[in-house]
Amino acid sequence: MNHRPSMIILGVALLSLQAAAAVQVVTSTTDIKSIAEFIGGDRISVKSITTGKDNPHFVEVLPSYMVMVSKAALYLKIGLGLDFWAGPIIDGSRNGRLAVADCSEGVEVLEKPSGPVDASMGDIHPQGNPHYWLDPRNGLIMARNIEKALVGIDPGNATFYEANLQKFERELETKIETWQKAAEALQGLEIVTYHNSWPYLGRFLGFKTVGFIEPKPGIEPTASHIAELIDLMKSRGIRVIGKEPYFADQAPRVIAARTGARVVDLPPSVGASEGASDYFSLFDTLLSRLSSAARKIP
Amino acid sequence: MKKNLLVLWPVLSVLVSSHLGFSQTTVNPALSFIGDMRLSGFRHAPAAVGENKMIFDFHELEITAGAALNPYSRADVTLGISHGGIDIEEAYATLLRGLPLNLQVKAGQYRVDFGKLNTQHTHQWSWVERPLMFQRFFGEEGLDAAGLNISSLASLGSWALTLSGNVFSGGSYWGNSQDPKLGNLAESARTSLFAPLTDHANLEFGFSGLTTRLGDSAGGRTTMGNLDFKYKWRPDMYSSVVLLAEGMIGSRLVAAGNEGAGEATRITATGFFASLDIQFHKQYDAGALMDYCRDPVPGFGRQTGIGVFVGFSLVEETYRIGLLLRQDQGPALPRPYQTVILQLLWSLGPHKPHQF
Repeated sequence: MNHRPSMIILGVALLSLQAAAAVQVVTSTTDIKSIAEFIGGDRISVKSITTGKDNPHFVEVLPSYMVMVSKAALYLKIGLGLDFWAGPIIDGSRNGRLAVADCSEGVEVLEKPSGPVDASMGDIHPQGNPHYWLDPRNGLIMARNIEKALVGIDPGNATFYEANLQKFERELETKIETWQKAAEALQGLEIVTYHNSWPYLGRFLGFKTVGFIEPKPGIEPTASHIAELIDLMKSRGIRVIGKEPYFADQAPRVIAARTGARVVDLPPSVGASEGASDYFSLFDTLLSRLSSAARKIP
Repeated sequence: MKKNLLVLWPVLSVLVSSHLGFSQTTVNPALSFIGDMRLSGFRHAPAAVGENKMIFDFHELEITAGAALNPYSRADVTLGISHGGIDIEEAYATLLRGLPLNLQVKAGQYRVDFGKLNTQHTHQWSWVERPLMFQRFFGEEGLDAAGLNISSLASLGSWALTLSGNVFSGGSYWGNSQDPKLGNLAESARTSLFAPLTDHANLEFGFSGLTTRLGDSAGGRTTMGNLDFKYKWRPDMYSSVVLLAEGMIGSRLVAAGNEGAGEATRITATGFFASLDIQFHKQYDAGALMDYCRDPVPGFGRQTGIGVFVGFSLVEETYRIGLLLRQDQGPALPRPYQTVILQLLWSLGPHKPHQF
């Protein structure tokens, strides 16, 4: 008797059962998704609202996102006011059993305003700069927050999540040492960036952002501001302009042409550019691009 | 629904002083103020519209407040302040989660989801005014009423299917208000399907139906249907294309004579609106509209409007300057007339005046 068809059916059924049993998780960004996939392995199924190519400051609340969240057991937020759009998506999902975790808990937040904040300062975040995932040491904190949230909703797999967390910590700590050694050429490097996305990465890798193409966060560049920035770059010999892929090329190219600087596309998230396919390769890509630009400075 | 400003002032004072006097964590409602200032010019317009005048008009100040009431529900309030006084445009509570079948329940005064555009406030549009069909069928403010809404969200793969039903009192239909004293209720339902076509494009279409019994001399049921469609393509944060269209048909009984004597006749009215809005820069958009309504009730008749518009938003939609050029014509008008509106919308608070 040929048992092959029944074996295939049984296999497919078991795989289906396993898929059905996977804990459904939705994340605001691809960076959280990447870490969650490492911790959760095959016990979870993760979807991200943003693709990495989007500006996470502006996400349209769509019914398809609500449907995605309506099936989830856990939502992982980036927090610090960046993904404020997650609130209406979660409300619209009508999901009464959804657990929500904020991955920024325990992170040392940079640039937290000490006084009153208003819109005359631009699109400033009252809770501090929210781009904290761009320091891989904060990735360790995020991973612990994610593991804690997963154990909270799926205690039966706590041992599995804990083991994966430890593995993630070991691998990331090793990579952190490697990246820091490789970043020696970036120590003290002064750069200009489009948006203030990089204070955490700068603190980690040792470079310093001394100017922004945006005159204030979220404000389009003006001619007078660009002229001032060009003067600043010339006077300090700045030769690197960092730009997130979702911002327009025009202003960076104009500034580069006047100063001799190089425009470097810096992926701020997993999936933002080729090579940045997970949380580890995101930093490989960032380091590689910045180092390459620094080496070309005459 | 118009109220005197003085009557609601104590409530507003409490809201405003709460916002100013306590730390962020103790301020519950997210307060927003949206101002709508216009410079309007008319040429050959009927007297009721503006003849050949040019006028500055602070059209409306909209105040919105909304926040969670508890982990399961929230409340939202929108007050419109204009020269006519204060209008409670919306004031409702929503039970967000915890109900079976993915249900949400909303109760209070709200914009009924009969079609897509009726649920929206005019500051969300580049074309400034509510489409003719809503003005003719439901009055200047469209259809808002006090009632109960129950909706459910279901998935068809990655598509989202929303089913919604309303039971409500009030509203105006072809200039005849539903008479609450008769105890008549209106019922409406809407089905909409949202389909993400790619990471950058999506499509939404919906069908709505409404039925009610009016308190006029003719009596009988008034029934209405609505089809809406929206396509949006947003390849990056600097550009988008939004094409939307909505059509409406309604049928009601009208008394034959002035006194209501004679046999009542059933009349049918139709309306259609379409617009194309193209954002070609982070701060600029431009587009065109087509607006049509055929209403056989004497004094209205058929009217067609076409227009073009451009808009400029300096910073994150905190204010928007829009220019609308429009021409209207139809048998009921003595001659075609032109309208130019320069509009300044500004927003103080999290609720923004316009989304591309």
